[in-house]
Amino acid sequence: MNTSEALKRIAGRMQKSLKETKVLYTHCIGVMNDHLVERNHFNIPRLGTFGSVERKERQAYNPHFKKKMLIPRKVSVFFKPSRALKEEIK
Amino acid sequence: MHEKISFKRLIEDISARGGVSQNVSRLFVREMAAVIREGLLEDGVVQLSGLGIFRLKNVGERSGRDPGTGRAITIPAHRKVYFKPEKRLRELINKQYAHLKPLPLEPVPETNTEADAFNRFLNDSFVDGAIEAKVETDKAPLISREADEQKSSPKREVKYAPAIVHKDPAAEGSGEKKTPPPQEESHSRKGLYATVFVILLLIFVYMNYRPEEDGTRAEEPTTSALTSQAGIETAAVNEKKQEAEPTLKTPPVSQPAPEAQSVAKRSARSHLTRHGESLWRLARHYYDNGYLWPLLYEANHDKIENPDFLVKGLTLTIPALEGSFKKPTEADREMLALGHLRAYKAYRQRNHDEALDHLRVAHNYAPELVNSYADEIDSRDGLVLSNIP
Repeated sequence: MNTSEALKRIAGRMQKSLKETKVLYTHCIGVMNDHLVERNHFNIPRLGTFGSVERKERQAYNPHFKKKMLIPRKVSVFFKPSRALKEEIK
Repeated sequence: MHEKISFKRLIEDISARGGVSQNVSRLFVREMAAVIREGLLEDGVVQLSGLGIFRLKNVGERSGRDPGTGRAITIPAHRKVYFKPEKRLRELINKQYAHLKPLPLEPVPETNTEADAFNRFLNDSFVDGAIEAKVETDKAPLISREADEQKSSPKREVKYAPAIVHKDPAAEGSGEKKTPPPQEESHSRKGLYATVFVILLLIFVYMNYRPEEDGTRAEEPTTSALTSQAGIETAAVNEKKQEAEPTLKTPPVSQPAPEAQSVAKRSARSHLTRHGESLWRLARHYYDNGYLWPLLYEANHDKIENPDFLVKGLTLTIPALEGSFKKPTEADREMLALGHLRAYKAYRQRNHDEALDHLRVAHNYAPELVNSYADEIDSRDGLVLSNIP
């Protein structure tokens, strides 16, 4: 399923036009991204928790260069599915 | 920063940004979650632009332990949701660390300086050199007060291995008046460098000189032949090419059979072509430079129909080169110019693009010579040639 298909379904469920849904979608994603950039985490009921954490710098072996490399720190996004979702898909 | 955002606040933010009621945005987020669940159950994949991709993955059955009781249990096969944020989002989040790149971790080098590495090399190969240096330092000024240092300094000289040199700073830490020894060391090192350099130079000169000597011996007759030939050729420069060619060919006829070529490559005067050979390859073989192939073509043009295709079983004459590719003599230049002119004609007949290049090169080597053949040059090409400064 891709975005346009999902938006069509949401629009159908909400009984709103596709255009309105798209606008809502962009704002929703924008807010979520802002929070992720701020390293906040938030929960969406019956879906899961989104958040971002910082990974420390570490040493790793690069098999291509056959060398140990120092991987710099970075921020990664995590998603933890909620219990309800886990049960549903099991 | 780093705080938990409640669902309520998320809804507030969305409605504030979108200018819609909180009811609408709450409904929207709930429906979105529901649609994601649906999509996952239907397709197993939900891709949302701006956020990322949710994917279902199958996890096989495996054995584990109950963390509470410690008993071995089998975890049944199940499905798991994975979420991968899209690239744009990852980059957006990592903006502050964008300048950081993975760096190779170099192992700490055993030797810190080039000098140390050089000393190790010395220790391995030129032991006598090291001993000489040691003797020198032993003879160095002996003043009563420096006696202690003298004791230490010869020791240092013996230890040329860098591993020990590295230990030295620790030893130096105990004594305060250890500044002079490094200077002496550097002096002796300089001497060592000089001797080793001279030895290497001698070896280099010797190695280079030997083959040259052989070469000159072998080439002596040919060069003398060539000088006379060159004389003839310069006289024939302004005349037609057909007159110049026989003079080129005359000396090689009397040369030894092709069997001799394996013995002395350079002095070979003729060559029996074999399968897979080309003029370029032969030029590279005999002159160390493939770009000189027009020389061979010029000398053997009556045998070679197509310069790009060498028939096997031909006995080619190999004209000698007086100078080198970079520093051709006047005779070489003329020969090369003639060769390139001939290549030009051959390629022009076949309507080959390289023709013009050869004409240019020929013009480069001997402009007057090319001008004297102006009537054989295609009018279009002549126009190009006239534009060359």
